[in-house]
Amino acid sequence: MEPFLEVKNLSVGFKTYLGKLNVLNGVDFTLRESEKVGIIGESGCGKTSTMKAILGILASNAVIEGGGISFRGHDMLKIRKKQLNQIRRKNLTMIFQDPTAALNPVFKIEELLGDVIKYSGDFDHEKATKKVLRKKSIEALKEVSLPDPERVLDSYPFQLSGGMRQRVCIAMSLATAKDLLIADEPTTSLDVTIQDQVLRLMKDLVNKRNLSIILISHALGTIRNTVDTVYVMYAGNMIESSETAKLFSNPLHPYTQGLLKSVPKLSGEGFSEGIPGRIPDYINPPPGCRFNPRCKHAMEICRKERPRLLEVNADNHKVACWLYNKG
Amino acid sequence: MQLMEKIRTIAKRYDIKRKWFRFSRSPLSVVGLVVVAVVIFLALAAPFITPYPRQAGLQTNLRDKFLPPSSKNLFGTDQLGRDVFTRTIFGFQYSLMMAGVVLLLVVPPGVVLGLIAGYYRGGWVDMAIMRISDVFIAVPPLVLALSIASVLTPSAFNAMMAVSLMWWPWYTRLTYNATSSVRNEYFVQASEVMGENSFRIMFAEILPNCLGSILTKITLDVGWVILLGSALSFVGLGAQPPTPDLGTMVAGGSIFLPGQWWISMFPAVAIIVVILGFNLLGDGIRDIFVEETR
Repeated sequence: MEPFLEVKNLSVGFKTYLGKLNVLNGVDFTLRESEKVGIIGESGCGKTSTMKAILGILASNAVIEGGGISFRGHDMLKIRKKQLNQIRRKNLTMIFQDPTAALNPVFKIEELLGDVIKYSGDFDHEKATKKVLRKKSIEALKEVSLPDPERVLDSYPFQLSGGMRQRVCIAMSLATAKDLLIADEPTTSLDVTIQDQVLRLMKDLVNKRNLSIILISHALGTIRNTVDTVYVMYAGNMIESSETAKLFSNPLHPYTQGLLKSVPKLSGEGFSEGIPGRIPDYINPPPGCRFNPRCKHAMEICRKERPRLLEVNADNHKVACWLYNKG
Repeated sequence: MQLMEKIRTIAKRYDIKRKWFRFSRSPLSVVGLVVVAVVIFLALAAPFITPYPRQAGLQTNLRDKFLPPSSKNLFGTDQLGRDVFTRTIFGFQYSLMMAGVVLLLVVPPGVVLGLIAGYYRGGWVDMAIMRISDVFIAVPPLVLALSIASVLTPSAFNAMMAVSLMWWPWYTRLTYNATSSVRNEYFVQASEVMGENSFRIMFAEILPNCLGSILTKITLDVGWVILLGSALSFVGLGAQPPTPDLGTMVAGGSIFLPGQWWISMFPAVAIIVVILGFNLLGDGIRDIFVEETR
């Protein structure tokens, strides 16, 4: 199947008073219809920036230096604002990390959800009377299994618990999404049991509607259970991509190996192995492979030339590392 | 009965009960509210409740000049025999009108400019708007108002224009700060992702988040505008005699101090009361919103 979202060699920098941060460094990324993709990596390695670039909501000091993003044949970097809004309204949606901040605090849920439904383009919005909107809102809230939707509609965001707020956010996103749901660490700010519920719910709804999803998460278990394909990001590069099961059973890139070993174990003694050091300085990133200062296997070539994301075996397992790309 | 029902549903929709609870936790706010309500009532009812309403205009009564406060003339009479009590109550009219006109002229453009500058923060629009407002803020308010008022012919209308011209930048700044702190919140990004246009994001998402501080500032400013207006009148650049403006009355009576103290003292106290009332009310309104937005 043809991919409908394609990010090619995307480079994005951020201008700051210290100098320019070269964050995204040629990101390649594709997504097919109803594919579920996970992105993992440390904080600050460009996962969210990539997603923001796709949606066109990068901070005002961001500079797109090269590459392209195409979504259903539209060039998302050159598209007119009006058309972009049309696409955002109908095709794309994003769930944010912190559901408290993602809901406008001065409006009741009824107003927030009602507006989304009203402008979703599903039906004539002249006909969208308060009653109709309320009924639709209640349906949307029921879909995300919120108990007592009537009461929720009459509440302000701060009167709800974190889990309820995230459910409201999901309901708002899914009221519009037709193609792609981007979930940026949707469960990070929730506690473990709620995390599980929210993820299950999201997975069910995504399956039911046949949506594509990009799930960003630090929780590797979540990723393993939810997505078909995993991308690993490090310092603004996609360094490995593979089917989920293969990646977890046979990680190739030294960073991925370290990342998987960093997960704290529930049983056994002591800390997990982890990766020493931290992500590089983006103002003067190390030349060649950006992981080389932390890599045990670093070779001469790693400090000189940047490895490309290439297929290793014939099974669509790609990695950007000189250990495998010898020739 | 139907009316009561309607009031009840409106009260419920806007959470009047909780707002009142927060407001009334500080008794001073309630005092402020009462003072403001009384002042507004007196100003509106001035022609009916004052003993000598015609003395607010051109009528004089030289026979009874310089009478000290008595039961007949509560605040005494001035150098032209006019009842100071009557003129003070009419003075409220002018003070409130001054504040009302100035804020009506100042708040909408100030807020809109601040909203635009804050939304396009970092761009040239922001630069242009905020630097221009800085120029206005750099000059001390009274000096600027004085110079403008003195270039124009002194009148109540020109005094209002002068005060308006130096007042809008404060609203621009306030809204600018509130907007730029809300600008990068996730919910604004979420609205962008959902395809809302900039106009809607500015006015329907960001502005409601700033309304609390704007409303508080409006209430507090009523007092300050009245003070500035009175100051202009005091130096003769505001309302001209025989207009019963509080500032003009204080100025007119000041030459008879301390002997006939009542002529300027009562209007002066009236100014203090009005300003204090609006300030206390403003504090109470701030109490409502500070916790609301938490």
